[in-house]
Amino acid sequence: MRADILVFPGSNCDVDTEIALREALPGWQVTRQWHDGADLSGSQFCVLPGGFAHGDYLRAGALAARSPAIEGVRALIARGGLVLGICNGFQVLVEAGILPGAFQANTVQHFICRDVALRVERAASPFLDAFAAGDVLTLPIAHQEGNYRLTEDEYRRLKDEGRIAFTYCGPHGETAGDYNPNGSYASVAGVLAEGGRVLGMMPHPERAAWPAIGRTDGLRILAAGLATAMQGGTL
Amino acid sequence: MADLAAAAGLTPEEAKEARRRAGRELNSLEWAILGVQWSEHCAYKHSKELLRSLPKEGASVMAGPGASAGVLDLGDGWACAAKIESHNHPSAVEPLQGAATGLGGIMRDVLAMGARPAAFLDSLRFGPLDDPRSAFLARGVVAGVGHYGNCVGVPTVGGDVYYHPSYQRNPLVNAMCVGFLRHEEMRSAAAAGEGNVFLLLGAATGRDGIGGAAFASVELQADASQDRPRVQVGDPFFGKLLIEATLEILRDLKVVAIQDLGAGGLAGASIEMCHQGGVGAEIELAQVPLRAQDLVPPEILLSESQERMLLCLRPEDVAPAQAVARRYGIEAAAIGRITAKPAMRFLFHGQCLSELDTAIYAEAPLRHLPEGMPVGHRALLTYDAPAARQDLLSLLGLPDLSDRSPIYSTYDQDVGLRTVVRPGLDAAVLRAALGAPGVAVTTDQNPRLCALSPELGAEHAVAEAARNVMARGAAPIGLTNCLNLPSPEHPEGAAALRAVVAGIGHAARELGVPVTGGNVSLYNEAEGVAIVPTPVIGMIGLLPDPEHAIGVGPAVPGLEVLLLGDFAPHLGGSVFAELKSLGQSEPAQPDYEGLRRMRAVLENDAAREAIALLHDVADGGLMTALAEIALYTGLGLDLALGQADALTLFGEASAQFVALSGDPGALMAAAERAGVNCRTLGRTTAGGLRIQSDLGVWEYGQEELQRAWRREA
Repeated sequence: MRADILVFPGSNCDVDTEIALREALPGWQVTRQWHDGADLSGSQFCVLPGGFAHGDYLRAGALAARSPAIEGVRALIARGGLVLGICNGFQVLVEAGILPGAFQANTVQHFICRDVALRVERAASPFLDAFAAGDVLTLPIAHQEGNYRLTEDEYRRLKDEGRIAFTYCGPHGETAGDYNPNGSYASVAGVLAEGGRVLGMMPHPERAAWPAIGRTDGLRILAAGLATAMQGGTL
Repeated sequence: MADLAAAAGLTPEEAKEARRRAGRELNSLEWAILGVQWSEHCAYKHSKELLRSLPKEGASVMAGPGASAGVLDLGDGWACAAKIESHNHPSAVEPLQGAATGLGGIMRDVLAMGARPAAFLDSLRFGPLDDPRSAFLARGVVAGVGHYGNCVGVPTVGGDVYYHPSYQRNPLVNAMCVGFLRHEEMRSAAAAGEGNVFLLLGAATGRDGIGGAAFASVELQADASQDRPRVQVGDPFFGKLLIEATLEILRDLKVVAIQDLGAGGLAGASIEMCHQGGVGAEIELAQVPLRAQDLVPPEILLSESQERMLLCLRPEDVAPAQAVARRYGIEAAAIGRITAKPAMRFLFHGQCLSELDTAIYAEAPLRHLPEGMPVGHRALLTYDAPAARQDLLSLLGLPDLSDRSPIYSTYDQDVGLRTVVRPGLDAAVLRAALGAPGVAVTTDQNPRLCALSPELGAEHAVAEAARNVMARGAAPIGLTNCLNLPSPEHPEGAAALRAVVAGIGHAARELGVPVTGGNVSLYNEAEGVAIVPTPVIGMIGLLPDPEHAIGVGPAVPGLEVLLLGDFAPHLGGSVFAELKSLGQSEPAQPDYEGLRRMRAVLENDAAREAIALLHDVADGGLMTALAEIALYTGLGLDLALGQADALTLFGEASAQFVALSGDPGALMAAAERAGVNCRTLGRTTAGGLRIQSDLGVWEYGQEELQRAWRREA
């Protein structure tokens, strides 16, 4: 089994993601591939990592979404592979039209880096198999443009289809109160594409995949889906 | 001709000396280069002699002053490169870009040692925040640190900030970078090998930052906005590409020497590399990739455009290096070759513009420091529990002690997966790599102490930095320093420079910590106001097993709270004395013997493992230290302090720590063996902070402390 991490100019969480995937997926081959010339044909799992692809000097993710590598991502999705976009990678998937919505600057108008609580929503996805709906995870966020925008209709549809993966919340899963760090619509922190095999999320699971110092919630996201994917045999 | 020399910022004596050494009149290009190379910023002409007095030797030192950054051995084949540098004047004019390029510059110094940049720390000094200009500068600088660090993918894990009126027009922005490397990856800047090639790697050269080094070497003018073109502009996205391309070239090819282009641009880097290697070079300026095509030779040589490195390569490695650069979309131009004759030949389209001995540029005549001289008095008061209760809340809400998370939460603290302990308390902890040794890192200096005595203030800066890394269980193995001072041409400035160097030297010798280099920033004065002498210390503490550093695990209710060290607090230079307008008296000398004994305690494995959290008693004294533990852990503390007065509650110590421990017996035994006083103050709880003393009993809820500390009043 092989997991590939796409590296764009300005990606800066690619090595971190590699370290975390090696921890999460013992026995898997994990590679980082430069976007220009990337070959995902032998891949079962592709991660678009965090960072500032092309400096984010245009809209975050807009240039990377036009990389030829994105065609490889679409092909992987078409054959039932898993795709995870983390932070800037989520922005790229949205810019590529693979996930719905759009991004704006955080309502506080500056970069935020800190741990947040996330509630797991009722959704069918290999990425959420280790969890029950309502579980509360702790993961760090680190972004300037994480204010995820959906229209009311888009939100309803995602909700009805079980495609909201994570919501920012308080320590006990409550969403009432001041727990939305960036102004995202309905506190949405992560969404799924149809079928649940593509996940985009602003928090960084790879930064919470370090058992020695007690950060493990991200590990369960990176590892959980894969056991299922292997059992499911669609890959 | 004399006006060319003067226009370049040289004194008549310096111009005369240059002509004597050259044996001829210099041309305009040569005067321009010399003006930059002989500026204070590049040549350290006022401080070089003094800096030689600092201790440089140490078991861990692999590279010291003179290298692009200091390098310290961490064991297991790993090493840590670290350096701190100022970017004060640019930040006073354009705070965002000033701070951003400060980070970029120091990052490339660490990269030039062959290390992967792994973390930044920022040491900031501003005027009081109720001054709108100071608030604007503080916002801009913090935004600049985040702008560069977050995007370039290097976390900012620590630093310190103080607010003092002397910084109102002349803020200080000191940036430290820490990088990690394997021993065999260490590189130097000494160019060598006749016929080897100079490869200019990175961004194209533009007109920005011309004369930046000279700008840093005079006092700030009232209307500094006209100096804006001297401020460089950073591009962290390009910086990220430069890091990756450089490290790949260093890994795959035999790079003879490497240095970043900083002060003095291409002229500075090529001259320093040749001088270190005892060689010369012939450089064709027409080969330099330009952003603005009409740049003239002096501009090409002196531009301080950011994100550039100069590499000395064997001819056969040039094409492979260019292939790597092409993949990352950055420039890599062969611009010259090394000559055995130690002279710099600058050509433009084949025509020789100048040939001058390398040493003439590189060895600036040193200047003598004028002789000079300083301050103090005291007061006391009666005290009671209600006053003590309120004074703690007032102290926590002072800008110098309040919550720093509004600053560091705008910085990416985690990228790179090396950050074991994030910023907040004492020192951050980094691992060099997965399963590798690591370091505890901090920057420190206290303007209140330095205002009273620059020498004792410098000693305390070293002591505080040592305490902060010790609080993570680390052994201090090296320090880098950034000496921010007013003009050395006045007697007071000269005396302050001497005093801070003497203070650092004394403290470093007492604690056995070598000085691995750093930076001197003089002329920090504006509109007739000189800054408080500000020797910022960046300390590296060794942690063979960073994942088990003190404070990594959670603290829980039911732990014993212990006070370690002789209880000998002082109000001289304290925050409390300032709060109560007591008048200030000179601080006491740091208790070096106490710190050495505390180090012995922390070298004991059983004692270290018995400590869940360790925090030093510093600004704001014992009460503040206890409150900070409650704020940081979210726990309550139930404490019996016994005899208490203003001095014992809020006096500041130099070798004292508060420990939380689930196994106090092991800690007490080790403390006794090392001769360190140890007494139990109480226990951690799930409630608030409760103090019992002979002044009475008083309490704070966690919420109340949080509100005061966050200045939510």
